[in-house]
Amino acid sequence: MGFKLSDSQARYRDPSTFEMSPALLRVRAPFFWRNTVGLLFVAAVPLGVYAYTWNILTKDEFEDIPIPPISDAELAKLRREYEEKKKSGNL
Amino acid sequence: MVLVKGAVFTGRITKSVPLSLSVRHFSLLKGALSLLALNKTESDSTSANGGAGEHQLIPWDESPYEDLRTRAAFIRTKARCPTTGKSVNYVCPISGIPTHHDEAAWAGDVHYHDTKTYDLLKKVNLYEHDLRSGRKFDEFVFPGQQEKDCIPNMSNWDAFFYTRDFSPMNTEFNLAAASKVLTYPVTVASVFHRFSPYQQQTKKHAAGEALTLEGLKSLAALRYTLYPPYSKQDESSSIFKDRPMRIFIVGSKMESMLPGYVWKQFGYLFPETKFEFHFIGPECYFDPKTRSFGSTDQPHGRALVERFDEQITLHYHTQYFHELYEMGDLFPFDPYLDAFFLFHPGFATADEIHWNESLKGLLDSKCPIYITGYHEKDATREFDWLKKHPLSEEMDILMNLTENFFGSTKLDLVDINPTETFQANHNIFAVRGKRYHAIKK
Repeated sequence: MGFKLSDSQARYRDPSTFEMSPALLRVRAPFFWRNTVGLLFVAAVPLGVYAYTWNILTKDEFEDIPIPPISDAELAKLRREYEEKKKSGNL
Repeated sequence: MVLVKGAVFTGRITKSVPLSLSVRHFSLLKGALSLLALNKTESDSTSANGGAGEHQLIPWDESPYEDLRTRAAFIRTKARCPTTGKSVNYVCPISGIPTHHDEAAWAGDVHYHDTKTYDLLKKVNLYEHDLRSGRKFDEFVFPGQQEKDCIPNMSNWDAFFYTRDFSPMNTEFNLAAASKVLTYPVTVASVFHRFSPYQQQTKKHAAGEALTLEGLKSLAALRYTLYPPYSKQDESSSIFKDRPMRIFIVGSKMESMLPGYVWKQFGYLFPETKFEFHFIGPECYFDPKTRSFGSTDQPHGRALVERFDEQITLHYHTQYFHELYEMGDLFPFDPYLDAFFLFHPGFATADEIHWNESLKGLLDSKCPIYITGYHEKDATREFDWLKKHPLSEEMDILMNLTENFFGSTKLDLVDINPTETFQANHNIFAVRGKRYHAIKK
């Protein structure tokens, strides 16, 4: 494994599994709950932004964008032009 | 006790070789889980089996170490049974220490069983055997200089050891051995340090409120020396440090046996300042040749000076403090540069006559006097003695009686009353001679 711990960390952790020693757990115990609450707060910001965006975008039907009405005759004309272009190899 | 010290300082000084384990765990998850369970299981496991692990309980009478067998015999001859008042002749089956006259007295001792004293005594037994076991004492591999960018955390032993880069104190036996030695320098440091756990009006811990306004004044003076106000780093900036800071340890015994490198751990916490430790008292010098406490035999009552390095010097004065004070060699005292520490002085013991004399000088110096006790009752006894003393009018309280964050975690017992356990420097308080404000005319 390429990852190496600093000297002091190496002594406070299991060298192969990086498991924390009882001493390190005791050091960190007083900070555990406050750190967890802090983590939840910090994580809530990007997750909230993501959830909000997803929520808004999936609801949007784009019905406010006007699609111009096309008559059947005009549609047939456009299709003909398209076929011709395809044949002449311009497409 | 001598043997304990021997075990402590002859402990092999080798770096711990990390065990390489072949099995890999998901360390983070496991660590987090055990952290959650830590607070609950810690108290359970320590009280249930004394955190014993592979430590085997051996009754002191059958101990492989002669001094423990002698100690058990001493208890049997000198101690009195707490319930019957007869001689001690029965070994408590839980702790392996002779405590009572017979089995009926042991079973009938309600207080002993209600307060679970046997668990404490069991720990005493295990700690004493652990110190003599000759295992590898990694806790005495002391760290060197503190990196400038890393601030040591002085809030408790665990945080201190971690931030000062000691070997991990994984078991309570490691912690007991290390704290027994380091409690003296680190207690001093924890009071002086700018991130001391004794702050005014910290609501986090009851001890936070121990420091009084007068105490803060004295500490402010000392911290002015330890952390001088900002000025350009040149020779002229250190106006106040025209001499080293002096820490007087009055009535010292065990603490004066600590070698220089233990006191250097104090020095590493204040790298900018030079220190003189003055050990004062007839038992402050342990002569390694005769293996006994005695006079240093220096001419004209001079102190024996042992220079550890540039920063730390140790001075041994084998007179009583009041004799030394009358000689005037230590003058002038300066509250900016001097402080007194009395580690378990025992005011109300046979030495009371000397303490009566010494107290006048101690208060006259106007320097802060920090006093520790073996347990709350002992410390209260010392505090009451001071409060009832005729000189108590001349005294300001700097710190109310509180538990010491850096007391020794190693339990010990009183030989003449084996059901009484104590821990070195368990409680701390402080006083100082009253200072009078200048009056405008």
